[in-house]
Amino acid sequence: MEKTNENSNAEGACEKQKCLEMLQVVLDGQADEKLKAEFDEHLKNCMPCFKSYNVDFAIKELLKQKCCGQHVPQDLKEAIKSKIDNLAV
Amino acid sequence: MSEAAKKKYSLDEKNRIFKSEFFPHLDSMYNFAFRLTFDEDDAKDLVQDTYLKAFRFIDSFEQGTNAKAWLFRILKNSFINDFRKKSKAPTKIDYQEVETYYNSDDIDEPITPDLRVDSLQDMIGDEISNALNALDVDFRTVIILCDLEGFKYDEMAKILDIPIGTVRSRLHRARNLLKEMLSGYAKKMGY
Ligand SMILES: [Zn+2]
Repeated sequence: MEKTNENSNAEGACEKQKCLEMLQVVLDGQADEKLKAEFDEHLKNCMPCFKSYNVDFAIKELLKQKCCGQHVPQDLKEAIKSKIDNLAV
Repeated sequence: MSEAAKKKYSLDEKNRIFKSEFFPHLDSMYNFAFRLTFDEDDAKDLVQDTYLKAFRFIDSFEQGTNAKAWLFRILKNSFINDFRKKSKAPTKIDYQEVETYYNSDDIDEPITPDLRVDSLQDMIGDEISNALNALDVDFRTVIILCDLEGFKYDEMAKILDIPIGTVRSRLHRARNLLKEMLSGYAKKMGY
């Protein structure tokens, strides 16, 4: 995993390694209520984490908006259908 | 193969599973395949292979489990086995920094303090898409699975055959690389 770095931010409120892990789990919607509450509380006191979270969140949203939404070519759809129909006899 | 050994589904059931559980993921599968291969024909072949395999091995699919994750796993394995060697490299773009970061020890260091939300939002789609495409395939894959497709860490671990801890650290590295590239772009554009 990541190496543990000494916390270098001036606020001193942030254990970097633990914060990063927490941030990721919350960002990806996989934190339970308790962890979410803990992270929310931490964000109030830790500017670096607050900034990081907002940037990460914006990138995640942007990825979803800009990099999905591709439609499968119609000819491929038809080809798969007919191949399966041929197999399924 | 033990295909004949455990025939779980009737032909009708197979067709029904295929139509109701596999087919709805075609767009996602194609998007994944295209972002792995960067080539329309390769992506089509990969998706078609995957669906044919899925049908052939449908008896090993458990109804009620995540069909999308199952399909993504097949596609990923097909890509590694059949396509990875011959797939075309991404078109060279402006992100020369990528290579240096791969070789750098402090890959986890920066949280790119200069990257701001408002500058991100001003970026048009191509930059983020190009940045994603410029990532090494292992990093690209975790971003696709997590951020584009919304898979959970444990599902990603199964799709990729790696431990959850590796999923998480790879995701973390991938995001840092992405931020570095976007930050470089933002700087160039004068944000
Ligand atoms: Zn913090």
